[in-house]
Amino acid sequence: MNESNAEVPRFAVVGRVNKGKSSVIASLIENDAVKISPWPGTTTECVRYDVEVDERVLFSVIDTPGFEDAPRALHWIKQREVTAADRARRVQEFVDAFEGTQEFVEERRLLRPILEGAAILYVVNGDEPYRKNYETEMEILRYTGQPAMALINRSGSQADIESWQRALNQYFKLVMLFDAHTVTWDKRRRLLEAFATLQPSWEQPIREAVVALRAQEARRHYQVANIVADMLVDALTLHLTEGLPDERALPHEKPRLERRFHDELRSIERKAHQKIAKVYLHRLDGWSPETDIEIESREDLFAKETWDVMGLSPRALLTLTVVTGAAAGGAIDAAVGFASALTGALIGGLSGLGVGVYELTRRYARASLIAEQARSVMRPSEHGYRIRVGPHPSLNFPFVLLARALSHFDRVRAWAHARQELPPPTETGPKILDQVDVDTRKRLTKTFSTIRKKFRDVPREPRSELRETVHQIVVEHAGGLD
Amino acid sequence: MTVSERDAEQGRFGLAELIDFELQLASDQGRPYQELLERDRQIALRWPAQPKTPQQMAAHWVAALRRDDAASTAGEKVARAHGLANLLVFISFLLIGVGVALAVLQFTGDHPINVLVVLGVFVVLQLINLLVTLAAFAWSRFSPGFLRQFPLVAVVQRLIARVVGPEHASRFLARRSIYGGVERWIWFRTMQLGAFAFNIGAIVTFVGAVSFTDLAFAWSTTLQVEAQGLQRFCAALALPWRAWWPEAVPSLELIEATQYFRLDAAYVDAPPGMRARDAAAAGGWWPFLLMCLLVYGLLPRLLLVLWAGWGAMRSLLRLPLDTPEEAEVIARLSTPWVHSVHGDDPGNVAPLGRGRAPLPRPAPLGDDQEVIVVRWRDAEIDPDRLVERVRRRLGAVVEKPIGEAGGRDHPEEQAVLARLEAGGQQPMLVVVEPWNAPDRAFERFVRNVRKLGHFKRKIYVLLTEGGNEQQHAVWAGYLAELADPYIALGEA
Repeated sequence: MNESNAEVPRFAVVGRVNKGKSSVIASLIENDAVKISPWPGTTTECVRYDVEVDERVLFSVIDTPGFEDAPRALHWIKQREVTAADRARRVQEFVDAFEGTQEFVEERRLLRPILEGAAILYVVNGDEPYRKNYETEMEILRYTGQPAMALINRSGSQADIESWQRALNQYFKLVMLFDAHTVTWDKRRRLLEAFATLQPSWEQPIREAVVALRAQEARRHYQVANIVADMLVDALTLHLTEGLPDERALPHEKPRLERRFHDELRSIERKAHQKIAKVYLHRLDGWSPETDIEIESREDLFAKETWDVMGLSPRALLTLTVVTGAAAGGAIDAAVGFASALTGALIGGLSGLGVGVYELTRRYARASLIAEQARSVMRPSEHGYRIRVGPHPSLNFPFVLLARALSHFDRVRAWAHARQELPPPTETGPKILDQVDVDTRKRLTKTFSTIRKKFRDVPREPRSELRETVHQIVVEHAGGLD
Repeated sequence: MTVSERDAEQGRFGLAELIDFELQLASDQGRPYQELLERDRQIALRWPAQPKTPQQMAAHWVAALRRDDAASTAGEKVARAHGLANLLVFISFLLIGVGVALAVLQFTGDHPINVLVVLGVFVVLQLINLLVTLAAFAWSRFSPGFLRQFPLVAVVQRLIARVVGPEHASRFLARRSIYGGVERWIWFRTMQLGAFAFNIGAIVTFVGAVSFTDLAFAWSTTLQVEAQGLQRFCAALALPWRAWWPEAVPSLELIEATQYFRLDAAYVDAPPGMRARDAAAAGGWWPFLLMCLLVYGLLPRLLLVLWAGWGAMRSLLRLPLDTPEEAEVIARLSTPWVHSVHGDDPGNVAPLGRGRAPLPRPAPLGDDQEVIVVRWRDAEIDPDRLVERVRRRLGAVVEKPIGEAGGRDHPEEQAVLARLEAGGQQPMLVVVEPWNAPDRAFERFVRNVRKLGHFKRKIYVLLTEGGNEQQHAVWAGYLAELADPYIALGEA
């Protein structure tokens, strides 16, 4: 850890025991190492977290034990009347007076960094009703004379927020609402910018931190796009081949190979989802999303509900196939100088419609016999027959994967470090891929088709195109960074 | 400093850097992203000036990783192997050129050397070879790895694979690798270098033979070719040098004088007894043949060697670096690394009350016993309702007023202690809100109550409505940790 620097802004996160101080810190600095538990007294010592950008400390956040006996502490402090100018000294006297004793252990520990110059970030739980005894803590903090702001950590009910705000406004320069369990980068940015208002000299390092965070978030979007693009290439090129001793094994081996194929596709998706979570610094010790996948369950990649919810809507899919078919037929019409009176376009459109209708029902890839390979002179085999499954032929399949990846991306972004489990997927709202415009969908369809055709050795160009297109989708989906 | 090291230092991609880049990407595949982020950003921070292009950035990156690993890299080995292969190809083809020239120019004095054979071998065949090579090179643009079908390339590639080991070789030799885009230029250069060496060998042998032996050239063909026709053909071939070296263009007289029939073993127009003049005339072909070798053999190959070298350099300078794993490196190098560092957190996350006896429920007190009720931390209660409940459930009567502890005013807590002291062994009901987790103040308060004496005084902790299961469990665990047999936990 770098040595503390006088210019480095420091924030002591203080408050009553078990009110979410550590959760706020974990979410603010994206660190799973911060110890969080529902049991009081988890934080027993002050722990300083230095936020570094390229090895330079930009600010520090200090996790402190909670206030445990503030009324008695304030009672001691107020036993001797002092002027406003001497209040901080009086708090220092309090800390010194009980040094080496078992009295006011937590209070002394949390006040020490404040008396050494740290700004105060007072955390209360906005889900709980306001009680007047909190004023003793606020009064002690006011006595220190340090710049201070309050954070109402709330995740559910709004019922008590107003009374908290009215009370806190009397003691703190700034009061903010903050949900430590659903912190996005934008909320972190706003909180950091609020820090800067506490002390003018801290504006520069905080601004640098915000700029770095913005760059970091942009890189994360880029990284997620790369992971999704790689996942799509891996899934679209997956194919399994197996040799069979004779034709009698076919009815048994075909379903087995098909099962293995779909399981491997699920595995490709699962690994990509884990990578996306790791981009956001989640440790994932022993965690895997969608474990114990059941066929036909709602969460399964190949479940009907999944394809209905994710991927292209029937309308979008039919539009895509009809337009593509009509365009191909139209090219033939153009080649004959439109002497065909657009018959080509019409037939192409109708064929596309047929393909689209068929695509709507096709979720699974089927294994097929490739006996000619077994007879090939170039590839002599002891097996009489060979069956192959894959690449997955469905037009909608990569779109389903893409939509699920974007949905997972949303969940990961909303997954604060104070929270143990991945938030549930959002159930409402428009379909994810509805936000992708028709041109981009067509471009994607073309790229998917190229990748599928060259599944044995995918050229660089479609990989690169796919990366760029997915990046554009991810950025638009994330809604920019400002 | 080697050429390769200098290239890397200056941010230029050489063959060695390219292969090391490819192999580094492969070895980074399974490593934790944060580790890569830290490593790469630290590399970028050590650069005195920020590289201008992604290619320069990647080259600097490779150079930095090499410094960390002092041993000779696979890329350097491959680059050396390529250098060695080029040398071997050059020497081999030089010798082949010498051998072919010696065979073609073989002159024992029985019959003169057929000029048409010399032109066929050193001009026509070479031009055909050149066209085939160019077509193959053009095709390799659409089919990476196509040039590996050529025996020369296959042999050299096998040699390289042996030098770096099959595992490394299979990675960067993958047809769609970034190396695949540069490879065609490298192989094309090697092929042209061989052809260039072949021509050098042939020309040196030709010049040596002309200088140190007496060669006799003639032209002889089964086809019905007239001297005038051959002269027009030779004049056309000599077009590039006719203006500045007219002697290197065979004249009609020479062509007519040197038509030869092996059946007669004599020049067609040569009068009998003129052998000395024949010999002088027969030697007149050499400037033309030498220029043919230079212009149609050596010069195109020299130009192609230079073009292939330029093409390889250009493709190295313009590496696309656009696939996800390549773009990822550039992103890691160019964006700040935000992270937090901290000391050990000695925090305790172990659940409370584990291994302790579960707390009893409040037992009825009966006999209208008076109890003191204390609101902990301003717990909100309806006093009348509470009084009623205490009477109904515990059979006790609440002594008024309801006391305050842990609240804003500390003296109120002291007042409660004074009342308890006066009340003897009177039971105490502490009403708490479940979300206000127990803390040291609560523990101290209980301790102070016990200090008053009457260790068997019943203390009932009553949780108000609300709160979740976890908050209730916290209270149960905390109170169990106190190991006080006269404390019970219930609902208010």
